[in-house]
Amino acid sequence: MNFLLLKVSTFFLSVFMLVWIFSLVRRRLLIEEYSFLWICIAGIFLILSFFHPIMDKAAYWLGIDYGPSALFLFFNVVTLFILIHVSIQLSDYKSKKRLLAQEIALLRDKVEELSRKTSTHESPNL
Amino acid sequence: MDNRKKTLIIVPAYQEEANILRVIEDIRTHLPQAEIVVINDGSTDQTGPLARGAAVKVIDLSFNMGIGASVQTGFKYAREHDYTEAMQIDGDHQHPAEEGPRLLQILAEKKADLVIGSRFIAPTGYQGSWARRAGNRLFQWVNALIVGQEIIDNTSGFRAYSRRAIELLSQTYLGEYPEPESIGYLKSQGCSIVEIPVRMRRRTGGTSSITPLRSVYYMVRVLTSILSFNKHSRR
Repeated sequence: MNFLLLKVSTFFLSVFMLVWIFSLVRRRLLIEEYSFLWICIAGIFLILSFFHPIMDKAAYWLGIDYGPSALFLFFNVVTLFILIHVSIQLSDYKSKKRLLAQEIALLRDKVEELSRKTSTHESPNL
Repeated sequence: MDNRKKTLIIVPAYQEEANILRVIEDIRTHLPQAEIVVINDGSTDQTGPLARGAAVKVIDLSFNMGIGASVQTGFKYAREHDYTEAMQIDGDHQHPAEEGPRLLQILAEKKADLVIGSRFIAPTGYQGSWARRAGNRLFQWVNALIVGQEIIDNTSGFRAYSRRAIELLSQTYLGEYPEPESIGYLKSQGCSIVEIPVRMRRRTGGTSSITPLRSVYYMVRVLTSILSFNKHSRR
């Protein structure tokens, strides 16, 4: 079995992920609130690349014969939870966006009303 | 007579340049004492300018947000400007304003918080698509189960609201299609709901927000909202 190849590729993948996440945070494209989650995932990858027996043990406990299948299942579950979390965040932003758009529309109306009243006051000689 | 009575007609409109002037004229003819606010839901056509040209108040939403957000903007406007009652008349000219006084009369007489103009209580000439009627029947069962009152036309937007309903709905975030959900919400807040038969027109211009193809998607979304609704206000 080519475990060395698996180890090396997992190691490089996790290092690449960590570097990428840090660079996204540094360029302010990702806020640290979300970077934490991805750093944790990259960390798990990194640990598993060095200590793959952990993966085999976990697979054994779960009744899965093939270690990488357990890893695959684990990341699928994690991805599912991340997606639900992102949907929650999106829903929150959507309702806030709605609230803001309504506030803007009503404020714009107030500004128009005020400027109309002001201009009527300022031109009494017409 | 209540001297403080102030009525606002909320007209949500999206891409309704073909209908908006007829709707305004219709309201002015049959509800002359009421004030009108057109909520222009991010239309890119002439809906906003045409309504402004007809000398009615127009609130422009920066982008299209759907009927729920539009009508809620109308409620917020009504709350801020101390209207004592409001009525929703859609910008697609399907709600005949001549039926409006009857809705307002029932609102006052029965001291109701919500009066729904129903297309299905009596033979009123309106049929709607097969999918729409099936969806309505489903909402009818679900809402009857949840709120304990049978509402025949849950999706009708032709409604009159009391001050209390205005305040509640201006503060509570309801989904993109709020009509069926708002029934359960208002009922949970102790509001009284009355339904009366009205005639409705078929759409003659513009495009409907609920096409037959989207009906199933609409039903699933609204059912999710109704079934998962809790009594706590969400902004």
